[in-house]
Amino acid sequence: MKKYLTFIIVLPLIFSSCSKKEMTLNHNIIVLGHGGMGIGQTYPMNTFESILTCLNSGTDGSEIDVQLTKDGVLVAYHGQDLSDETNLSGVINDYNWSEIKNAFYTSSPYLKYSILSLDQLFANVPNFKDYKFSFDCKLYKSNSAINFKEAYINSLSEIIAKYDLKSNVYIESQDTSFLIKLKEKDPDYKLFIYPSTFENGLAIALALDLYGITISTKKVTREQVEEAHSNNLKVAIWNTHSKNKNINGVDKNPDFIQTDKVRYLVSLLK
Amino acid sequence: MKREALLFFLFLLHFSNLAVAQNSEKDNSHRHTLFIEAMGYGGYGSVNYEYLVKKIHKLKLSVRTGLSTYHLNDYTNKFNPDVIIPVGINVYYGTKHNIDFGLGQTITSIIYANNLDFQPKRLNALHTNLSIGYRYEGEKGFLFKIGYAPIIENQKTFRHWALLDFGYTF
Repeated sequence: MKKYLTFIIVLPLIFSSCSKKEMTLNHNIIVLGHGGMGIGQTYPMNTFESILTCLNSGTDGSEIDVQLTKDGVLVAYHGQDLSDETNLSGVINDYNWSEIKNAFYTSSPYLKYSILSLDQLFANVPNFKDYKFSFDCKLYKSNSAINFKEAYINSLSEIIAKYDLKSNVYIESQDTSFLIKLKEKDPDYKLFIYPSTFENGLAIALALDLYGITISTKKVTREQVEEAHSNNLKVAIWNTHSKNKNINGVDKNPDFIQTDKVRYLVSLLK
Repeated sequence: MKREALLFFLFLLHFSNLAVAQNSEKDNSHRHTLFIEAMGYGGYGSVNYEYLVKKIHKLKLSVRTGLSTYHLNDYTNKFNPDVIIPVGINVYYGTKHNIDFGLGQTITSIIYANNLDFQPKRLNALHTNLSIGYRYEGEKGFLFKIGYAPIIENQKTFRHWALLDFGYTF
């Protein structure tokens, strides 16, 4: 019996010591939740409940997916088609805010979380100036939209000005022309290119004098992060769904990690 | 909706009392079952108790209740759990291998951000559950059940759902 007890106690210790990789942790890495608490949680991404839980978990802030309604309201929503997660269908830009605010997420049984506007978020997050937010600008537009990017940029500028967010907001986009227009609007915006490859991102970021590169952890190495740093560019990584991917991400020494394992990464770095 | 729930509980109570009263050959063995349910009436999972109220040859009638939650703390990090209470009635036919039909109601009390001041607010609702499945009852009390268990959320929206149960009958 004693032998078995020793075996039961010692075995997990052996495994845990084997799985921990020796590395130096950079505690200055900024921990952001991915749309709040990340993918695959019972709080849908980008809801008030998810973002607040993330901020209350000890993170530095949150990434938020941002889309534009037909009447120019910026809302926090991830997917292209509303039918993937809500009781509506089509893109956010097909609807006015009055319709979107009555929609609800249908991903989990019995739950009816609402879609959030950025105005609602910043009007109701306590001490929001203490946190950092990264706006992933999703440019999904309605077929009938006119001057979509200009309308988007105007709404974005208004919300940043209204809540004085310039110092604690980062803006990401895959669209180079959108980033150019934003830069023209205000050269002090902290802009990130969201490229398909690191090389492509580095070239665009240098050409446009951007603040940094947002890239999947699968598409970037530690050496490439160093290369970006040597060019005075910040690096934000995402796609860190598992504990191992978070450890791997930390090992690459980026400036930001947008994580789907919020509590784990906070326990690791904070 | 509250009236419907009350009527349903009265129906369950009446049915179970009637069944117990009529059961002259009282057999107290294997009346109680504790089981965990993946998906099913409780959302993503629940712990449950089931009581066998009537047995006529191979036909059996039982009532069940359980408990589940999505979050124990609300988004402000205070202890303020979501509460999910499934109740139901099951009719099943067989000895070891059974076909099982279920009907129930799930009471939910979930914390949301109030749309006006974004403070936590508890919203209560009632949902209907149906189920049809296969139920295995081993001689040593092992219970296994698998089935199709659609939910009519808020008595309005139909959702395809399933259930997988493991338990112990004693």
